[in-house]
Amino acid sequence: MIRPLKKALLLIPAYIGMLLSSCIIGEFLYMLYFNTTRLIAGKQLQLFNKYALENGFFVIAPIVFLLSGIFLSCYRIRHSRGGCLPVIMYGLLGAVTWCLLYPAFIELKGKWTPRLLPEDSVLTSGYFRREGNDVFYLMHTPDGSNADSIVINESANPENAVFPGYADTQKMVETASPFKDILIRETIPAVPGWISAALENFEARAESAWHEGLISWLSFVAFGLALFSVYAISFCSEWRLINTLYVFVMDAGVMSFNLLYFSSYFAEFRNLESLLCSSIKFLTHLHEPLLVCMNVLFSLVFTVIGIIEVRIHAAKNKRSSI
Amino acid sequence: MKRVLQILFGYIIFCFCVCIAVGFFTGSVPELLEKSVRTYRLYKGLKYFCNILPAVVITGFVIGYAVSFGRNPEGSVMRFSPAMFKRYRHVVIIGLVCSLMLTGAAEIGTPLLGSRQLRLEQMPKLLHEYIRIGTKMYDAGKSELAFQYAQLAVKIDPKSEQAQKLFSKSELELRTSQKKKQTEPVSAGSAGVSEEGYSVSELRKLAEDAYKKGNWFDAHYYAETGIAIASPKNTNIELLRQTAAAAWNNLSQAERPAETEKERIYKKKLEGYKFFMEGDNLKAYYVFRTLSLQSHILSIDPDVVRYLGLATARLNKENFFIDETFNMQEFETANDVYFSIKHTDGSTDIVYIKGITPMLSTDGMIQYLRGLTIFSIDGNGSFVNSMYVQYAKMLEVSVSDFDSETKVSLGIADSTGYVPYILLRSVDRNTEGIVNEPLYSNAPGKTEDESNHLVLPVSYDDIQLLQGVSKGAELMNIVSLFQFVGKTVSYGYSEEVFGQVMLNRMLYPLFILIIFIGFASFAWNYRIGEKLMFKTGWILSFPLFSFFAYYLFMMLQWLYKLLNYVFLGAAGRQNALLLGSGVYIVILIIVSVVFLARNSADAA
Repeated sequence: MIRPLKKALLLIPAYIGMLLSSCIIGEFLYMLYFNTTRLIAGKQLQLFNKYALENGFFVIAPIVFLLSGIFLSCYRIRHSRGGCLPVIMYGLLGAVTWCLLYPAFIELKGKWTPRLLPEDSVLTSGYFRREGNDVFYLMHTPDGSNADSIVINESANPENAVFPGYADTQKMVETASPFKDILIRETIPAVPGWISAALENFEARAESAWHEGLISWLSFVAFGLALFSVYAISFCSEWRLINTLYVFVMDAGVMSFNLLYFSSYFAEFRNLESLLCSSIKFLTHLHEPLLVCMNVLFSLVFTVIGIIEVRIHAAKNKRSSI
Repeated sequence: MKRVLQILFGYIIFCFCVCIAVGFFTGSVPELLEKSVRTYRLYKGLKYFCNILPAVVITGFVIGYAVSFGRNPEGSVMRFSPAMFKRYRHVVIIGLVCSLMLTGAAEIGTPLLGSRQLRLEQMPKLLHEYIRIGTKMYDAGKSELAFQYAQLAVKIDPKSEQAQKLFSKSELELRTSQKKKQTEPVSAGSAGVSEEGYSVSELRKLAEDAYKKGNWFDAHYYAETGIAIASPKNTNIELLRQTAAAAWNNLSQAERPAETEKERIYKKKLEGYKFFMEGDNLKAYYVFRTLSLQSHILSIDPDVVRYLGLATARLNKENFFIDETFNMQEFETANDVYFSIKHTDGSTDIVYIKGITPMLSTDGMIQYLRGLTIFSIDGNGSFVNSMYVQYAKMLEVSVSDFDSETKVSLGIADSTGYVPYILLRSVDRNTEGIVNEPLYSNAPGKTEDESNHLVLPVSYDDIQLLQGVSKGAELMNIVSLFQFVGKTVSYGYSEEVFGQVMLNRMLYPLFILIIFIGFASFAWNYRIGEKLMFKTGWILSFPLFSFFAYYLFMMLQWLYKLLNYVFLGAAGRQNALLLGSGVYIVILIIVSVVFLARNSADAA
């Protein structure tokens, strides 16, 4: 009894450690990325930025909450055994995350007054920068959205390929987005748009669910429930590596479903919602009832599979011990 | 270790076969020569393989070690056990092998396959061009050139009927013309075409010999050359002056009105010779060239041959022939090369070259520059002048040929060994007056010297580097990249960008080794049970693992690139490599300690 209890209790510091270290590493990466996106050729890279530090926390924390189930599941797969107590503790930690930490975070974010975004550095002169078919050599540091430059049009007749002109620096910065300088943009891939869009989508849904009231929030928590329930799948294989893969695949599946649910791919499927609500009146009180039902269904399926697998393994172990 | 290698290389070979099969049986190919289709598809498959190789190797490595560690976990009850040190040795060896493989694939495999594919894509176009140019040359009576093009065409596609046809007829024509040449009398009087290499006494002897033979042109030429190079105290100088004067007297007898054809030719030769001695090499060239083309006898006339050769040699130092640049565009090795040259007075020249064709000549490497534009601005960024020329010829000249004043006026740094000397004017080989000259444009109120040649105050080697730069830092040769990083800003390129790419490429093997040692810890943590049978169905997890490994590796690479910017920002370009190496070595030590701290009890 003591050993399982110890294992269960150990989950608490391990989980806190995971959340903290993920936040710190995430903050570091965010600041690094933020500063690099603002880097201009010929200017010093800023290594520390207060804005990025504060803003980074509010960007990283929701990601950590989303991934906390995977982290904890991987930890449990690695430090398995211990019976029911660690599993119960796992559930409790999941509940604390989605019912206390996440709402507390949203409240904190609401109270937070964002710092003013540091002023953008202007593009430096004396470098060749490509924008579309043209290469611009800025003669002066731009003052405003245009800058005197020498333009090289590679697709023009060589005789007319080089000429004095203006560089639309505003357009250059837009092309380089999220970076400020196209030169830096060429060497580092930007975070794919679909990833940032997906994260923003989850965050917006979480915030609106929290502000709309308890029922809406509980509807959103069904997503967290599905994510945390994936752990049950990790009992399927006797090899931990395979279990880890199962967790990753299923978590990715749950997230993808929750993300694509509102897309045109699921338009017809969403029509089932009215049918469902007309049969079960209680569901009308929920926010996005069909999605909630699907998330609950996922968690039930995972849990049932997990319980069956545990039972099969237990029976097998019993047989082999006899 | 044996088990790891079996799984790792088994999976690599499997993926290799899959990629080759995918390359061969899927997707369309561009227009290629029939014989190249298979090779192209093979390269396509190999490129796929190089692309997924990191994920494949990570999968094989992790699963291999997870199985290997699981089967033999003994001896690691405590942290930092001797058994773990033994495993660490194996992990490092395999990690190094994997690092070598992945670095090779990234540095050699992918760029090489890309360029090979491009070459195969260009082959039909190249074959077509060789046949077109060869036929054109054949029709123009230049059978030797036609034969060379035909040879190239046949080399590309021996089955091409057109190439074979051109090859046969140009070979036949060439043999016939060679036989004809052998039967023609070769003039005994045509001495070497260059006056270079003769001492004053040798020149005096040559002048006297020529005078005795009644060859007044040579006698005068050798005597005058001797006078020009002799010091005032040289004892030969008086004799040379006498010979020159006597020869000139004889030459001047032709000043009277020419009556016979022989006299007219002699007068023409004298006219050409006078231009030559006055330094008007272009006019001298055309006089002797016209004479040479006039008749077969004149084309082998010793005076015509000799002074046409000398005039051509001198002309080549100031101009080049338009026909040298015919069909050059097809053989360009660099396109859209641009750079800036910043002068000490704050002014800047922007140099843009549309295309560069290098050619190996007897004088070393020469390069033809197509569409050369030099656009100059002053320290305030105002336009000063610009120069455009359709074709220019670039030669490599030693800075030691310039005196210190010239070096200062041209802005050549003392450390520069060789600089590019660019001939801007090209002339027609046969017709006087057909000239391609540079077009100058000056700012109002400003006049600039409109020269037909120029010296760029940059190292010739840097021009070679800049040709590589036009392809992008990622595709540059690593040695060239390393050489160029310190010069980026002076040529209008970003030090940060090139520095970061250099770090990306130089620290890559270390980065990969760190990843693999990290994955070894992961493999230990998630190893297979000691007595657990490996199930066949688990093999299906390999591709799934590779899928996650692919994205994980991309993420790690992204992080790696970001970190390299930090090293540049924190330590500057000069120390970034040192700092980067130091940090990665520390990370390597940390992941190694983490691995060594694994024990078999920690999983319980």
